[in-house]
Amino acid sequence: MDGLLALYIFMLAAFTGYEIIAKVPVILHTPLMSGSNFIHGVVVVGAMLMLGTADTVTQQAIGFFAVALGAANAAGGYVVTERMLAMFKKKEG
Amino acid sequence: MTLPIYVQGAWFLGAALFIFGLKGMSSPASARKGIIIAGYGMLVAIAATFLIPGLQNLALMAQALALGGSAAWISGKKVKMTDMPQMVAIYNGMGGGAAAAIAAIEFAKGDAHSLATTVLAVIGALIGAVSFTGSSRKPIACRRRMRSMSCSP
Repeated sequence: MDGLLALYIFMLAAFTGYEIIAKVPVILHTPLMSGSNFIHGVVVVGAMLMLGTADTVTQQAIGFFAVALGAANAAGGYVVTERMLAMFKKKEG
Repeated sequence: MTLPIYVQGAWFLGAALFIFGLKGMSSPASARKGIIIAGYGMLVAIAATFLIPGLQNLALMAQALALGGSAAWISGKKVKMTDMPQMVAIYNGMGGGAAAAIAAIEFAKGDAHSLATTVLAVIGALIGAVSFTGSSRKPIACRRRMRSMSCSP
């Protein structure tokens, strides 16, 4: 991809994140932090692309490690955030 | 690598679902719905990646997904509410570890041709590795601090 285009996406994503997070009530900060962490789990897609194009055994091993870690980030982030928000809802009635 | 339009479209949809999900999570009434929407976004993105033609090691990929995903799913269900911050820090570090490993493969393949991509890969590996090792130490320091004050990662 064109480097400048990537920079544009980077900038717009930064503004999107800032605008969405900026006016959040304080009680939601912790679950939202956890939710953003879950979204970082999308790194697993990059890891899958790397493993999918790995040629040597070393690359496969590192790729396997990367996909497993990324999947753990995504799955763990989802479960933990969901549990926090479920508890939150009960409290609020 | 030019990706087929259905993969690009699915990734685009996944990104949109992430933003909707985050938006939902930022208000108490829709917070729970928000994480579920974001979860669908992740599933769409991962499923689409499997459909890219010419990818090798698909079986290895599925195994790694199952292994990492199920281990984290179970530990996430089991962890005590008071230990949540450490758990989030650990998962966050794992994502950083994945990013570092991706940069490592890029180097192993010799994909980093120009100076700019080399610098980006080094920075990526560095940040990823710091985040991985940093969060593996965090729970210890965190637990010590928990006695006197609250702990946030």
